[in-house]
Amino acid sequence: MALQSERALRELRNTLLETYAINDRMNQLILEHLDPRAWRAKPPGRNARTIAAIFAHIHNIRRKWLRLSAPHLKLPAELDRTRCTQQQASAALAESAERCSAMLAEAFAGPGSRVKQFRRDGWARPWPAGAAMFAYMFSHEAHHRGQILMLARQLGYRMHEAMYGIWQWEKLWKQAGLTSRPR
Amino acid sequence: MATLPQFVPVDLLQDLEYPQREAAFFYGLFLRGHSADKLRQDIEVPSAVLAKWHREAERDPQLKDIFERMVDYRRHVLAIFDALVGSDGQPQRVQ
Repeated sequence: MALQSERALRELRNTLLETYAINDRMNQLILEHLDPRAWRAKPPGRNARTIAAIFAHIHNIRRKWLRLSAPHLKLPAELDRTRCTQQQASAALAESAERCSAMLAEAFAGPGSRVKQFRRDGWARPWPAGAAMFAYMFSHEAHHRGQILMLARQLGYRMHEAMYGIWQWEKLWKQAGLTSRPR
Repeated sequence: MATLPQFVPVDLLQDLEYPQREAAFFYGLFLRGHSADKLRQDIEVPSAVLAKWHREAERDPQLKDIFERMVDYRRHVLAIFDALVGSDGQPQRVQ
């Protein structure tokens, strides 16, 4: 019985880590299908972020989580929201996703793990590292993906492939190089 | 003493009693090579959040006390952190 629940727990951890891997695959899919003219196009409204600035924010926030929650991991370089290219954003996100995966893997490892707390902001109350940390990280990016897709549309760029592609999880699983499937 | 809103968990208030522990965490990051200025920004409650809290406290005065305690706590953490780091940004010798 104990062995069975241990196996179920391990399976759950693995599934969460794989889901985090496809989370970045979704970001990459949007970057691949985004018209380069939309990258720095001025969004409607005052003080609204460009698509470039939103992607830079996603990467830089991951850096903050790593810096505060897993200081032993190597930090990827910061992205400059005003100057980074689509290609630089893609490479930076791939790197920070890999580091965040490592952080989550440690967070799920249980006692003895170096990632004991999740500090989403320095001033905010830390949480014990675990499933809520994963959910927070995932939903932060899902929120910004929605923003980016809406913004691209408002700017006159249609993003059908990305808009539907982010929901084809079986395919994303394969694209992320995973041999398993959503479960 | 003002009554705290019922949704404020007791352990949150207990956390606010240990600014030294929190400052030590940030000092540890400083010793790992993170910039003192960046860490100060992490410790301080950002002005946008302060403005939001201010608005919320105006709507619900019960929140004012907890927000004030949280801000005081962060200031205290920052003061301890600054003392540990030293004014020149060099780590101070700790006993």
